[in-house]
Amino acid sequence: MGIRDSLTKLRVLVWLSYQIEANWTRLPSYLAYISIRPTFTLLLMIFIVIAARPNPQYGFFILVGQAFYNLVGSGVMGVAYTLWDDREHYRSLKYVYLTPNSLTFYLIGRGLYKFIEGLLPLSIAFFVGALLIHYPIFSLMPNWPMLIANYFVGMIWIIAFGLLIASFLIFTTDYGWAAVESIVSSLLLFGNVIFPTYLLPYPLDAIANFLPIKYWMDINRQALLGMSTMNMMPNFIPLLELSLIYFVVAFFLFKYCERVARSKGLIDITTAH
Amino acid sequence: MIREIFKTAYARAYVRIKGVNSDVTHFIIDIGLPLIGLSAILLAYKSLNAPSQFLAIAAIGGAMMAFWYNVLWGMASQFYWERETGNLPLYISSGAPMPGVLLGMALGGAVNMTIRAVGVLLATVYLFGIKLYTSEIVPAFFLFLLTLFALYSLGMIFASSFLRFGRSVSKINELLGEPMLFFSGVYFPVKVFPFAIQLIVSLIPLALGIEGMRELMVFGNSPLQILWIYIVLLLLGIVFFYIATKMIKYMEERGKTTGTLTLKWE
Repeated sequence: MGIRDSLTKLRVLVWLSYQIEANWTRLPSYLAYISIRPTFTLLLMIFIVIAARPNPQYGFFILVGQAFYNLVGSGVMGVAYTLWDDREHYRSLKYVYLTPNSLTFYLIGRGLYKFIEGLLPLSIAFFVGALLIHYPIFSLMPNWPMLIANYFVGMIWIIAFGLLIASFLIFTTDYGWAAVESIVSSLLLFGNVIFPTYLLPYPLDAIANFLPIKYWMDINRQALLGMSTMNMMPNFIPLLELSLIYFVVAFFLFKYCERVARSKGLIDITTAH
Repeated sequence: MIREIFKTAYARAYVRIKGVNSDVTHFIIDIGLPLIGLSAILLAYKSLNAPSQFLAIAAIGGAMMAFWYNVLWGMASQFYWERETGNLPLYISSGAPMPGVLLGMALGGAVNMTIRAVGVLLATVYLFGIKLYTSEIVPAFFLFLLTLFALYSLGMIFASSFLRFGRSVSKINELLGEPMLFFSGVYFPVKVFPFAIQLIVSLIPLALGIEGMRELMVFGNSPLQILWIYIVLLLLGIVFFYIATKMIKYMEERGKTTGTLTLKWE
């Protein structure tokens, strides 16, 4: 499969995801729908800041953390939940095997849509939040190349987490939502999202050091503040290493789990619907 | 008729309570998951050096959050799912009064969520050393019951009215989720809102219940100081319950005449 062929297939998978997600309404309503939830989730966090009246630096910390965390949640769901939804709800997972695509490629392609879609609520939530805490965002001079590079590296580890959850979901019809929610919630707790991870009690604080999200969040903040690329390297290098490790492990684990699930006849198991 | 309603409610609640609590894993997940998210909020307050009362404020709100999600996903969209899975025609053809089914759903959900909310609250109190005024536990419990009455009556209205929606029902639920939690001030006191918004928010049972319980258990106020919350919750509950019973009859009749009670995959 050549690069051009792969890109064409990815484009079709992203389009398919868009159709599944959005064809229940018109585009403006859909855009409003995908923005409302992340914006209010961010407002929930921002009002913690407003209620406790801290300094603006902490407001910025929580603002960036929560705005980008929305992308993490939807990205992980985009891969993991697709497996569950296609098998349980649409009962179409088995038909992927009738196409020339591998299931892993299919899930990654379907999940990619969430990263494109997620940019809109991320931006809206960020601006609304900044407005509420009176943060002077228009005086920011972001390091755009690093911010964009970080966005793409984020895709790698977020997809990896999605595949890790999918490796579990492929065997079970129960606890699907719980698996997704527990990982996404844990990333909120250990991920440097709304508080610095050194506040976690020992030994929980050590867990954060082995999660890419910790470094990813720091780079988002530093890049938005316009920090130089060299100064971000102490965070970027471990981020890149961890992202690749997570992706390789998740890729092979999912491949293995998929093979076992197929041999046990679990690919089209369903519960309700 | 009243006896039939209560018999049906008991049967429906029994299935819900037995079904959910027979699996211990569900219980652990239902307490563990909110606890992870709530811990993050409490640590955020700690990082802000916020007064310890804020931890108690967030702990009470965080424990009560589960009720709203249960109202949305366990009540509002329930009849839609029953229709999708083919159970709705069985309910209706059985002759069991639909208000009884609704009441049973509400009672079952409320019992399940109460066990979980208490678990979440106790865990956060223990883990974060939160101090609450236990002297006001009885009036707080009474306020809690009134909150559930109003909240689940609202859920019964949703369940009836959502029957007319297709697959967009899950989208509506999602849209009602976080905004309502925000306006209910689950993690912060609603007093941070402008007065006009506070007035509107006082019509949301969850917001009233949370605020009332905070006044009693965090600030140690007496029930008399928040008597208006008790009264408003009682009134809301009665009005919502009355509307719900009328609504389910109307929606059932409408479904029969339009032939949509067995319609799937809209």
